[in-house]
Amino acid sequence: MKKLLGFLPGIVLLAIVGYGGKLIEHSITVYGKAHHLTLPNIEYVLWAILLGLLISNVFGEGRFFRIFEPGIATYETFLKIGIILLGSRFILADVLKLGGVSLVMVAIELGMAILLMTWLGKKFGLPPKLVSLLAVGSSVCGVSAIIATEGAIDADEKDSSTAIAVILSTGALALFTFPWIGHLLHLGNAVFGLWAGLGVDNTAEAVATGALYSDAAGKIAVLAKTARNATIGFIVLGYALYWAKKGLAKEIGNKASFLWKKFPKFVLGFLAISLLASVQAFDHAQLMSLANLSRWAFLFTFAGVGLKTNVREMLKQGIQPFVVGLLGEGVIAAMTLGLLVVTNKIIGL
Amino acid sequence: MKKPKLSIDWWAVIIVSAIVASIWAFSQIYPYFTFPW
Repeated sequence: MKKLLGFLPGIVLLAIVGYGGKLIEHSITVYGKAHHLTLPNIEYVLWAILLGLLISNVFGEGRFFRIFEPGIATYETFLKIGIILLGSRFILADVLKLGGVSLVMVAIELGMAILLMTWLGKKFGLPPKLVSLLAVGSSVCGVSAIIATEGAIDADEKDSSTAIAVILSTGALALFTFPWIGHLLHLGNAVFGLWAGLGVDNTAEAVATGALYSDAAGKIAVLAKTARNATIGFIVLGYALYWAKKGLAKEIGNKASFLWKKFPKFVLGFLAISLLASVQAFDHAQLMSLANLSRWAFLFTFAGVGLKTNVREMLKQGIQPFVVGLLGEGVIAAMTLGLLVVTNKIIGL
Repeated sequence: MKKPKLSIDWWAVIIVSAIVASIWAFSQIYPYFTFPW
């Protein structure tokens, strides 16, 4: 009970920041209408993130802020809840088509990320295990992939916190640049959604980037990112075997149980809900409720993204990994976008 | 023996199952109710 109460202040803060974002968006629209002004429509997603960023970077160092930390960390649970609930907005045929495209792209991305990050890492003299972590983080799924790989390849904790900082800061940058580039190139919702899901590394930031573009793009970004997350076990296993072969990590015993352990189980929840929606187990009102609840869960997530991003912490990690991350991510994002545009022309996404 | 801890993923699956069950049960009483956004 005491533990549950410990979550409360942070969850209340997530709710206030998230709802605050929604209120700001609404107030600007109302103000614009009342004064006959054409104001840019900035989504609640960005307001919630900015509000969170402001609060955590101004008050984050204060001792009193610790009371909020356990609750803020629950934003990941809200993210997973939001993703599973969003499964109700997909029929299984869509999941298979877009998920399939995503998986092919993940394979290509992984190849690119390994080659590019290894090359850049050598150029900038980064430790080889940090390079492995950056390659996994940029090709699969950001923070959770890095944490899973850290344990499997016996990497230094310092390397993994650097890799996490790099992935999070490039993710934060993507939040602002991806939608802008998308509008500049007049990308359709499907192409942009897939690009956000495949190009932005951390799940929460990928979902936020998609949602910033449009509701439809946000939905597709979630699907692409979920497919990408599903590959985590295989990639971590590959790296674990590689480092074990070099004698620099533990041997893997049972590979099937290793894969199951690393498999993100929320993907199963997403597929189960999508299957139920496909066999029309829900009526229209129930589907609306599930979709709206998913939006609320994401609102808490976006608040958490801002509240968890500590600019000072990121700056502490040194400049070199960031340059490698930024260059690598930039090239991978550009190539992924190119591939998606070509795929769209050929098969129509 | 220490009880194994459930991961965030499993918690999310459990919470969503509870949500779906509640929505289903609630809609048996109020069929046209939708959760607001």
